[in-house]
Amino acid sequence: METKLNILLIEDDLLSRLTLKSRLEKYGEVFEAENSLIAFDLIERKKIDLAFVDLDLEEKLIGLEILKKLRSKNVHSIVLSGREDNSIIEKAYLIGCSDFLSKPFSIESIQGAILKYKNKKENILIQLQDALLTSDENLLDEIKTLKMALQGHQPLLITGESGTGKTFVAKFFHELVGQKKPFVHLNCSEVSESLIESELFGHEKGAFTGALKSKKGLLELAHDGVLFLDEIATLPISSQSKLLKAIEEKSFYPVGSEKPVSSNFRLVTATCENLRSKILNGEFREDLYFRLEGYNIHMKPLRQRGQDLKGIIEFFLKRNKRRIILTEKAMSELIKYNWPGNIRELEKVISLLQSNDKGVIDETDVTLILHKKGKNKVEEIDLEEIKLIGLPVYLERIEAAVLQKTLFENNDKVRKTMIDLKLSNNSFYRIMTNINSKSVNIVRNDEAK
Amino acid sequence: MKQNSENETNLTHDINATLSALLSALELINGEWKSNPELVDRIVPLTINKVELLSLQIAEYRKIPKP
Repeated sequence: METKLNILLIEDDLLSRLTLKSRLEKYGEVFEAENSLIAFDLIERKKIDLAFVDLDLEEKLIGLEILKKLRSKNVHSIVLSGREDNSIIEKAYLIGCSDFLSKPFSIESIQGAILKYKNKKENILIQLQDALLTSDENLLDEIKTLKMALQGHQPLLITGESGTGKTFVAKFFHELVGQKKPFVHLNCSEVSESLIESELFGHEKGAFTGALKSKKGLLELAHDGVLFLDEIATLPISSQSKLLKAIEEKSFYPVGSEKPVSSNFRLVTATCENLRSKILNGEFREDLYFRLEGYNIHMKPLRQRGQDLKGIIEFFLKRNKRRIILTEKAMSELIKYNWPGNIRELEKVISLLQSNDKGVIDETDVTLILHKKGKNKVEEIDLEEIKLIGLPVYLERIEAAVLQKTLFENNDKVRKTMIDLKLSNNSFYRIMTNINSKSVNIVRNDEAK
Repeated sequence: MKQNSENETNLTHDINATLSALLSALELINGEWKSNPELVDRIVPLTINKVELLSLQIAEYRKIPKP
């Protein structure tokens, strides 16, 4: 639950005070002071969490005196001033203000200053360290980037293998930005190329065949919150320039619309692919990459988190009500394994072990599950059969079986399947056509038997 | 000369402060004119005054001889 703050707003200009007050009210109770007397009085009487201070009130630079008072009460202070003189900015910092925001300032800079205060209070580093169950020095360094990202306005790019916790970090980031704000998550690989622009930017009624009514895009829905674009590397190159423009201008045109829509969102993207090599292959725009790479967090694969592994296994073991015991050798088998599917795979393996009939799990139970998982072959090579039917037909069957199995695993998501198997459109439909035309023969053969 | 420089510093501060008030006000009006008419009714006249003030301040600033 977010705690409500007591905010002191010291500003002599009525218009500035009214507008800023209405912005700050969502964070808590706002006490207004139009001059230094009221300000000193409120600082004495109220328990203020943070203060916004205009330096020039009824007297030039009286705000510096107020800062001293706030400092003595240990209040987190943010200066708002049109002063451009470095010596005054330095003075304010030396007295103890946390941020000096130059007028005219943006609402984002106000939000950033408040988040900075909240982070200081809540110490996000420890929170995320606990949540990720890590004491890995490199990973902790990466986490520090999250703290910086929160205070800045640049996008956050999370890289790492599948299953390393990228989505978890994105959701955690959203919690820090504000749980009540929208969190809009799109896995770019799950939407077909023809629909992705409509998903992201929305569309007007009649913009294309099937657009029976207008629809808001995810960018618009993410207004004031976090837009998380997962598997960003799979975003079609044709949509990349439009996304870049939307990120830069914070406004965009829905498909088929001539009216721009504004949206102020924090962008988080994630990928398990190497974007630099995609740029070299002409599959990803370099300018978009540089825009996304504001803050970069790399999630280490589980096999490189040796010191964390035991703790993570124990965490998953305790999470299930049905407790099981792992023998030392069983634990050692789990630790030795290289976890290509990372934490997601570990969670699944622990869950399989917990559904085992036995309460005490030994190394054979573990190896059985790990071996079965590793042995994800569609079928064993049968040399005699190949000689009988010929290699081309055999390869066709392998293609068909691989495609059908992957489609099934991906809940019939065509685009994801094509990406998983690195298939072009043509190859995919060629194999599908083969499957459809030959399935009749296969059934007939089976019936004949 | 020193007087001019001081005037310029003060006016720069005042213009920045006025611009800040105006930008925040317009942003607020843009977001709230439908949902919060009472607040917008209070803010609009103040905003108009601020625009006039800005015009005077800029004219004043231009009068200061530049080196």
